Amino acid sequence: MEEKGKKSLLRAVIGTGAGLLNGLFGSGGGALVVPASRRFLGVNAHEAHASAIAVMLPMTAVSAVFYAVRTRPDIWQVLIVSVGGLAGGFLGAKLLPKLPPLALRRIFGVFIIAAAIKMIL
Amino acid sequence: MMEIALLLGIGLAAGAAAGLGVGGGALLIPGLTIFLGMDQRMAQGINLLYFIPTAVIAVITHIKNGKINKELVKGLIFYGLAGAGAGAFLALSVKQEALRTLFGYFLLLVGMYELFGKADNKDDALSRKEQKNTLE
Repeated sequence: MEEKGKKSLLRAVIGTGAGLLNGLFGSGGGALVVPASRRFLGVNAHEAHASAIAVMLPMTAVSAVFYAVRTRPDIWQVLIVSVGGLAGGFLGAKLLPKLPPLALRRIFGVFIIAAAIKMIL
Repeated sequence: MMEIALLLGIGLAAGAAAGLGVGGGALLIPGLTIFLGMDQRMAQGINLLYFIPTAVIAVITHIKNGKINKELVKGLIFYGLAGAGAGAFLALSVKQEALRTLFGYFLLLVGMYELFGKADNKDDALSRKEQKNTLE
């Protein structure tokens, strides 16, 4: 019984945290749900990835409505970015398995840190 | 014309990065604000919209393959939706310059994790396989 209570509390914390993060920054919820469900809820990697997307989809839709009402994004800009994204997804799936994963992560890390510094300053 | 090329290129990079397990948003949002001078809130909103079509396809595939842990989804979703509303409300209530700076610190953490984090090859392989399953 106590174990069950602990699990529901953990779910509440992970769910709220992921929603807040994703709503506040427009991204990042999945980056919390996947490792947290694996480490604290004992879900395996496969299920954690698949379930995270299923949780993130309705959460993203809710946050997106708030943002869309307030910021009125240009539908064409959204479409063009999305077309690029789909193409990138295909390209990544074909190309990435041929490249060393750790080196790629490090390179992305450098780019992301540079972008972060630019945004903070 | 330049704007279209930039939008396509940023989307492309973010879509490819998503397969690495690096969230696409970590590239898309700074790309839109830095190269297109977009408002921070606008860029975050576009990232949310951009995620939806891909996620719909992924979820349908995962449901078909029976990969979704229903108990986990049910346990998280209610709190997640409440958080999602509150988080968006918060983001839209603060000054966009403050949001941009705050996002920058968040991004810094993500970048450090990618740069110095431990290698998890099993995970990389897994997420790639899933990405492939989703797309093919």
